[in-house]
Amino acid sequence: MVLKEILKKTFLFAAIIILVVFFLSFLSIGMTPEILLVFEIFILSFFVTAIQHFVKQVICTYFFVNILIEYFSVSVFVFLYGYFVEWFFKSNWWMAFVYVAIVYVPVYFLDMAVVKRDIDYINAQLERRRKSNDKI
Amino acid sequence: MEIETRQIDDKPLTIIIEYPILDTRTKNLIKKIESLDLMISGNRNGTVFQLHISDIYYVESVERKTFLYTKDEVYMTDKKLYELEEALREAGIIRISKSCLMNVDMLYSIRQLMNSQLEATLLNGEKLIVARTYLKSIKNILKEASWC
Repeated sequence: MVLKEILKKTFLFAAIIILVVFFLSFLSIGMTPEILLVFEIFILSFFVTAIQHFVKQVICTYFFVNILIEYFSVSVFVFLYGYFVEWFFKSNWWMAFVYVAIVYVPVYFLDMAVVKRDIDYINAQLERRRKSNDKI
Repeated sequence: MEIETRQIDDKPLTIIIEYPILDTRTKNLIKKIESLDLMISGNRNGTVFQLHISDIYYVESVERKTFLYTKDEVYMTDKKLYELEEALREAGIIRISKSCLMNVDMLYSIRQLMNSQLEATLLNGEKLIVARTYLKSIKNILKEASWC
């Protein structure tokens, strides 16, 4: 849990550093393609996080269906956004779906591992509770 | 923690808690005991019954109607699921899906099915589907309870 908390803060801290450094660069030297890319990634991350949040609110019982809907919603958004900011050409529109899949596959397995750990904890606590009730 | 019990005739059930400091553990214990005394009215075959909250296994909303499930009986209530969620949280009855609240005290075990759904088995053998979003709530409530 401590490592998870440290990693979470590390990523957040790194993101703040990148944002501040590139924003200061933007103020001093103006907009460059590199600075623009960083800002575009942050805007994309904001919208993807918002989509994930709302998809989880609407559907939550069928995890596999949920993750497929989330994957397609995020992919379509990344595709439209990428097309708008000229990350993709018309001919390679499918790249958005590949990039999102590359991120989603490890996330899916990570989620499975976290859920398994939570289930094991819950069942262990229930077992412990039953044993202490038996003693009484 | 020491437990003393004594029988005193002609007196209502009285619980006295003595503590050196009112910490989280003590507060949880008080909440738990208070929840045992909470009642809710439920309608079955046109008759209104007063039910102990601690006897409820789960609460389900079906077609805008809310049902209370005890070990063997089903009762209908006028309350909405979100109202009950708020009122019963302290008693350990928490949301496990969009249409269902579960009494964690009545949970026997939980497992992951092949299709990635989560299935909770209650002490009376009934099975409920748990949404992954709410798994953490179950874990947290058991973590809090383990302090008692």
